[in-house]
Amino acid sequence: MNIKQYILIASVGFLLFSCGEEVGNNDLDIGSPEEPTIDIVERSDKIKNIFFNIPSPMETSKILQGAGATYEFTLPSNPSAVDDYQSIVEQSLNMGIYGADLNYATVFSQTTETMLYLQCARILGNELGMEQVFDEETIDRIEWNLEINDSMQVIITEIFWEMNSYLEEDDRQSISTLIIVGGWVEGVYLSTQLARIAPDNDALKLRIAEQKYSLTNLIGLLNSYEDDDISQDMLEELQELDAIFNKITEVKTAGENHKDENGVTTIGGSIKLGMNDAILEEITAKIAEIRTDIIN
Amino acid sequence: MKNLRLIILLSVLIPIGMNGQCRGFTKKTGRPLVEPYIHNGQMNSAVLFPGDSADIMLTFYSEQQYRLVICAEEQLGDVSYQVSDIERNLIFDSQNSDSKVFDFIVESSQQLVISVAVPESDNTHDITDQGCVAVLVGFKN
Repeated sequence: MNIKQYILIASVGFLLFSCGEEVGNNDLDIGSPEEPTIDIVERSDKIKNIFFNIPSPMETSKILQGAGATYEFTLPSNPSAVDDYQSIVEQSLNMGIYGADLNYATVFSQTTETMLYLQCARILGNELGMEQVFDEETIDRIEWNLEINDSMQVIITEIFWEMNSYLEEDDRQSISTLIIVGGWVEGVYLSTQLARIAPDNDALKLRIAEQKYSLTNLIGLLNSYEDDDISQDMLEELQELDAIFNKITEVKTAGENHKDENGVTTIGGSIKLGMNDAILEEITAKIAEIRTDIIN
Repeated sequence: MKNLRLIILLSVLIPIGMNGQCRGFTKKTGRPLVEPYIHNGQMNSAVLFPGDSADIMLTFYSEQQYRLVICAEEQLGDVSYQVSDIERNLIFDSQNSDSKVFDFIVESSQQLVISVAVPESDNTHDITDQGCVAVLVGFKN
């Protein structure tokens, strides 16, 4: 085995463990990372990487807003609890929770809450070794744009991109994944609680049902860390939730794709999701249980 | 023994260098292409070699307009990508398009698969041929 082949092994190891942040990977064609085979070394077989991701909390908050949801001050997590989270796992998951709350507050133009949750993100970001994300320039931009909703959305999105990219740079994708998990859990928690407040809002219920797709991808992402006990604990919780989401029926009708004069393609076809109130109640209870485990 | 030390050193250094490479490249080259859409803040990137391919499973909501940007470092050549639905029905093939970006709306929320392929090269085993490929998503209402 020559030096180049060793380099290739190292590179493949890198691809397996560190490629993509907020992204998991799962090599289809080769054996476990601990048992490199000659196929890896030769690299004559093409490597097929599979990654997963889910919509960002900002997208989800926008979707909730579009579905007629309101801002409810009692729903987001308690900012005062930020100092209670001491372990990296607690900090990572709650960074996701606070991040979703931050996006919820920002989209609904709640300036005070936006600042509170930004502060939570900053504190946990510092604890997780990402203090450089909240540099002086970023703080100044926040201060100048606090009342400008669209600008704040861009700034917050950039902050989370910077965090994610730093985590990738430091080869800490499992933390990034826990942040994604926390963010998704809080998004679904907020959605289900908002649906309780507005039980006749069918658009909101549809958005909850659609989370079955994101949950599939989230489970795929967590499966990328099958050797990580923390990820496995969370994976089991989410698999139980997935079993409930799988009760939602799906009827697909094929449709045509077409491109408009602005070059925007509409991907046609309809997918009708069927979720009764009993399923919604099960989802509501389970997501609240998972969230309680994270924040307490 | 000297070789072994070098190998261990490279095993540690290469991933760090590659990660940094991808972050800077994505920020400088990929993110401007997302505008005027709002970047969703997620970084889907990997360092790939000639001949590699990658599938990325993403969820997209109805009533949002999306922009998909795939950018790759120059040394990888003409990296192509396809967008398919979850049943692998082809929706978009970059090889049939002049545009670097794919703007789209989904009538119903669904998962899509983005398949990225790096062309083969005569030097597929050369470390200098690896490069960053980034998939970015922007959205607007």
